[in-house]
Amino acid sequence: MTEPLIAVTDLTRRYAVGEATVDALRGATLTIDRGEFVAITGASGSGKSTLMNILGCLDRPTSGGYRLSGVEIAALDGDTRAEIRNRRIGFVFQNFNLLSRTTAIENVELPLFYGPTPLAEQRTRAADALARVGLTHRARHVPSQLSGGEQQRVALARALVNEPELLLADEPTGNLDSRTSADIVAMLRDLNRTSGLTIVLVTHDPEIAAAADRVISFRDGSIVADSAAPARARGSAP
Amino acid sequence: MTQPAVRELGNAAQAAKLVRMTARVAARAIWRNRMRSGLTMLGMIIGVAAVIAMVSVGQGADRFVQEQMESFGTNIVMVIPGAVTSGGARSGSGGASTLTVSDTEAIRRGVSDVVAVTHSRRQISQVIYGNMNWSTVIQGVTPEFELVRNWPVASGSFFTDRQEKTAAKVAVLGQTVVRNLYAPGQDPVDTTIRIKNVPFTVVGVLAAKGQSSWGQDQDDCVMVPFSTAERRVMGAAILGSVEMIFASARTTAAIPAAVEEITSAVRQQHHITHGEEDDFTVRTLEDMAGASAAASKVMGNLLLVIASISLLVGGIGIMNILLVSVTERTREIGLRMAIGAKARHILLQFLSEAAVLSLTGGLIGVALGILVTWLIGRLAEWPTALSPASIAIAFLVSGSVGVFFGFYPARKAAHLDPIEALRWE
Repeated sequence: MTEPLIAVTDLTRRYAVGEATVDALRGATLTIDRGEFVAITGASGSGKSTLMNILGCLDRPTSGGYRLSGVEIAALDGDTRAEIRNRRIGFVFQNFNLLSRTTAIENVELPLFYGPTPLAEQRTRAADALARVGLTHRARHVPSQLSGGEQQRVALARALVNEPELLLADEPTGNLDSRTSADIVAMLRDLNRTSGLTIVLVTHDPEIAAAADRVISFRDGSIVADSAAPARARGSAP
Repeated sequence: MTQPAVRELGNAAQAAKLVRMTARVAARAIWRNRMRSGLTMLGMIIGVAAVIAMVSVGQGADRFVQEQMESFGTNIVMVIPGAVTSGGARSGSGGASTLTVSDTEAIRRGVSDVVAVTHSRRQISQVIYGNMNWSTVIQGVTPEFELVRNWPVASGSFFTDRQEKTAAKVAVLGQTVVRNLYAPGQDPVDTTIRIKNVPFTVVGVLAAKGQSSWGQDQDDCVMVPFSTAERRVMGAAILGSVEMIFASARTTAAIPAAVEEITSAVRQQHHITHGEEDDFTVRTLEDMAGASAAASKVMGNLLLVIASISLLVGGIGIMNILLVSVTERTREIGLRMAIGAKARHILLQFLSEAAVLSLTGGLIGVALGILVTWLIGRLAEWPTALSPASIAIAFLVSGSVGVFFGFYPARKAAHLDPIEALRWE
């Protein structure tokens, strides 16, 4: 069997909050294969965001292992993790995090600054990514001229522009109304089906989670339910 | 998943791309906050402009003094009578004529570092030509005067050794005298003027020399042979007494040696024994220029301090505004890190913003400095000399100040935790 895209073993993350310590993750173990569409749910403070930060190479675990495509991330330095974030991971945030007073196409172009794409190709690649989310006609607009749903689609195009292996979406519909939420989820669904993009989506909304193929539930820093667990247990038991 | 064929850049090309993008983002960030950026640059602008104007005025003054000194004569060394105590009556420099023609001869004979030497006596007298008259300085000098003072004639010729020896009644006029006695355009050569009722034939007119560094009109004079002067004009009781000896050293570098040799030659001539005080003083133009040079040095240092403080304040202003910028753009920094910016990219981003701010300020400062220099030259009529080196240095210093003071905010930005930064409200 090929190496899973994500292999997390016995992951813990402890924060110091003043004198006290908080255990945000208490030994999470899971694997995600290429092409999966996984939703991670749980109440706030359940550890799902901490897991996302570690999966996104923004944070490092206190203990445990995280292998992305077979590479142990915990051992890498800051620059290498920055490169992995740039080339292999796309981020979508709850609050979009677009640069204000900067056009949609320039926002989409942003990750290409830090990568090896020649300057002359940046614009066409950004335009292609905008086309994938259906916003070619809004390329010259700045975020304040776009609706919430459009802004999130620009953010999605930015996440896709470097052709990542993994898309991490942290409450991508948290700031959207239910109709636009459905549009965004449908778009993610479609990206997963047609391009085989691996998507990990964090949400506290069961309806959004239902769109995914697999739902992992967190509580108090531990996995309490994994809808694919029985199948996985059968498939990968030693 | 279909991966389009992506062309990748080499390291050098990627670095070039980063520099270009970084400069573009920096310029844009500054342009978006034009008002704020402009005010921030003000310190830099004033500092750089002050440095350039200061150096220009200072160099202009130096050059002016230099030109004055050169116009006074080439590598000139002067001997003037010194303080004497004769029979209990004490007198200061120049009070008594202790110098004689034989001192000049002693210098001419005994000092190898001197190429020409002359002496002079002066007296103010009325000069009459036709129905015009003018009070001026009659100066008795030897023909070598022309060479020592580096003062050629504009028309006619200087008097000759022979005319000096025979005490010929010939005169060479300064331009101011010509202007006051003759009609415009008239050539004074071969006309006859009267000094103390003695007719003198004008043989030459001196070139214009202008004001001396102490504000005296050097062209207001009439030169006559020394021997003629003491006999016909001054009516000297004792012949051979001179007021001042001028010597020309071989080279500028030879001036100190010439001073020493002249001193010992004159001491010997005056029979001054070891330990006795000189009854004369040997001076160079450096001695005379020394006082004004010291004053201008103090002024220059003062201005340099002011300019440095201005640049320092400008630098702190840049640091301040960058700290504000880092705080304002915390989320943006977090986002850039999340999508792949390395710490050094963020560092470079803010450093280049500091550099663009300070270099733009420096550039405007250079322009303002040139303008101020021009205005000073034009309105105050001070001599100024723009120095390209000072412009280049001021510009480079402004850039360095910006990068130096930008480093702390840039480092702060580069060390932000991306997770914290992304959560920043």
